[in-house]
Amino acid sequence: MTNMFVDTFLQECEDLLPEIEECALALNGECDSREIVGRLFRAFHTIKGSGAMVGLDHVAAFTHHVETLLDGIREDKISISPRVVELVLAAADEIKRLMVVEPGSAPPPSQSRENLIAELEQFSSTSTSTHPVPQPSNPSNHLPGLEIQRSGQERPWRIVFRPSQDLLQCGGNPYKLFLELEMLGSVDIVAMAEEVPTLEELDPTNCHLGWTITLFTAADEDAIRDVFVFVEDGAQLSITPIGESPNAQEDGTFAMAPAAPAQLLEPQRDLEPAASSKQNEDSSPTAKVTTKAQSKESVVRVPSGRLDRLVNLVGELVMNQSRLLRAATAAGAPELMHPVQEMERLVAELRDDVLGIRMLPIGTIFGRFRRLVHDLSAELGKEIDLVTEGADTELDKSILDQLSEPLVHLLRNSIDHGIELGDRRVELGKPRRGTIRITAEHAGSHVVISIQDDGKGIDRKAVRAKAIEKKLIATDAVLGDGELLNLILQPGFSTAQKLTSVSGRGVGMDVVKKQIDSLRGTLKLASEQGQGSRVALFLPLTLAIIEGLIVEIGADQFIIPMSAITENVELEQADRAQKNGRNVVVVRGEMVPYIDLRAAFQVEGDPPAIEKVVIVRYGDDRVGLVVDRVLGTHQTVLQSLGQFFRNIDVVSGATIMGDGKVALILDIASVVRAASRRAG
Amino acid sequence: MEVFQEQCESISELTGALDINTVDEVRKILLAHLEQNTSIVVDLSSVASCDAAGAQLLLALEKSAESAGKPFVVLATSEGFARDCANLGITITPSTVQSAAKNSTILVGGGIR
Repeated sequence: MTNMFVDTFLQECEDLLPEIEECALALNGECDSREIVGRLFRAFHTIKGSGAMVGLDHVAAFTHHVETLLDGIREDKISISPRVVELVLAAADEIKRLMVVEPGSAPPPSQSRENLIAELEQFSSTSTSTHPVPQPSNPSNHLPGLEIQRSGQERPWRIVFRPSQDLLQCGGNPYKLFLELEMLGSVDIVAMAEEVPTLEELDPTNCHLGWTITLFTAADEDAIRDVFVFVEDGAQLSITPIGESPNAQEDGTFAMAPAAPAQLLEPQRDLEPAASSKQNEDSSPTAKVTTKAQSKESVVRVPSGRLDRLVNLVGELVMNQSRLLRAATAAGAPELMHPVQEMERLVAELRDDVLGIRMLPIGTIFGRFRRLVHDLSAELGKEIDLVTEGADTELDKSILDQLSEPLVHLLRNSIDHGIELGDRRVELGKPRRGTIRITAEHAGSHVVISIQDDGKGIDRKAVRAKAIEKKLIATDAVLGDGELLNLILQPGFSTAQKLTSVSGRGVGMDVVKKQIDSLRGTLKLASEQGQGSRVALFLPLTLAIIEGLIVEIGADQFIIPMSAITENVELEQADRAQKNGRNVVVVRGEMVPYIDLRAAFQVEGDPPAIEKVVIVRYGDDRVGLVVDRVLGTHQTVLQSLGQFFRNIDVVSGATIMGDGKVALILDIASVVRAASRRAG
Repeated sequence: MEVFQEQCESISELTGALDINTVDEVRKILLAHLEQNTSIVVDLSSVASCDAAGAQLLLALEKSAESAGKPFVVLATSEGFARDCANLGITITPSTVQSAAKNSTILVGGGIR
């Protein structure tokens, strides 16, 4: 069970740490810094509290230092400076390192961590914390305590806390919350047991208890609310200053009824019975009941593997539905048609909904790019702004997962090779700060992501010289501008072969292109010398579903992705003969090379007298694929061929047709590359 | 103070930690205890510690006993149990049983001995 809680904590951190980076980097911007500091504080506070709860006391103890710093900022005792931003970012990095240390174990000594803590404490020494050091789960492992000082006038607060039912299952411990409250002042805690069911009805891991707490403290409502910040989801929380409650007496004191004699086993009586009544709570003008479950949709974390399995099952359902429809039609049973058609509608709806679950906004990966631009530009002494647009644009999670590395590489290229140093930019009449713009937008069934910088652009002469040096082109080769730019996408243009998010620099653009190809996407380059470069990535919305054209060669059916197709033309045997064996077809005066798929796939038999040529885009070129017949369009959920066929790169998957036959889905880029290799 | 000497057929003694990790198991045993006895007597003197789930379980037992019209008695509590309950805002007042037959012990997280 402990591991499950730790896993939950780690997942929570995976959400919070990017948010922390994003907030920290936004601190120097024009946003409302007070709100950002508040978000930062809550994020660190959640990490601290949850960390302590799952036994990661070292995380909690470390996080306390940065929380104290942020508290100082919140109280205007510490001003925001670039160094503060760096400290917050460094603290987030340190938490990442500490997260992987086993609960209950001490992290290995680290001088950099000690230095960081020392600097955080130095900053915080001008501030006074009103927030508690978390209680260690292991009492023998006490945290470096800070003296809690309370200043100002203490006043009574009434807190009504009814946690979400899953509090205990999630590792929550109300007692630890009460300990935190005790650090703010003196508390009287009274449990409310009226909602506890009988033993027969009880799910003992659900929490049915609630608490009414009277707290005397000089802390403000925000500080009290912060104690509950990581248990607020699905909870009812009311924090009311008692002096303002209708039950307050005129002299500012409040009525305290003596505790009634307890019976055998019962919750303590409320010290302020009138104030604890639910009716009063609801009608109180100052009551602030937080019921997140009511105000926002609850979120369930599901491992992506389960979603993949769901998508596969829906894929099979779609294919079986297709077969059922075909069988019902063939049977000529009208009484079957209506339910089968209704089933088809429902299955299509289910398919769309299931695929929709996998869609995530691209903004989820933008956060790490901000950090990358911040760190790398500082390292290179450049001043760069990152502008992002279209963060809400959604893409399939599997695409997003694989997209991060190529985007990181393209960004590194822009920062390292594109944007000039500030002084140089001023000399060139450009703004001192460079700008990199990442935009994402829908374009039909695709998403277009572009990375654009206002740097020096690609030096054509240098590209040509390097291509000649690498023997990619002849010294006298005549190339169009597009062809010349695309040389940097050629394997061998750069010597590095492996793309990693850590190294990045020096890695070939061919690796980026290969990754985009594997996502069934295309990459386009544009660059103007002195003005900047733009890389546009055209990506399908999802890898799981494909709109394709069914074609037939002999008795075999294949699917060509519609996104790659431009048009279809006919090819007569007589035309083949006229070209003397050269595989080209003339389409409106333009010579288009074609690949004879019958020959390429070694399909036996003779072709029909009139074949079809499906013209597809391949980069900036057009290529024809010769097939026997074009049967129509088909939308299908892509099925993997499995590990035994993983080396067959000319097909990206397979689908089962309505008649039960398997159709292979062609990977256009691989088909063209394979044909080029055969042609030498 | 009531004494349940005559009606008490058995006393359930809970030992160990009464917490989220053990409440499932203990609930089953207490349900059996509830069904088999005309009065519910629990001895908490050996409960080392208790969390909100554990305290809630005993509150639910008390409710069940009440609704079944069976007397419910807490025989004794350990210091740790009383402290943990107090920390959660729950007060325990043990009753005394003069000479109850002590023939049943619930091992928290274990079985009955």
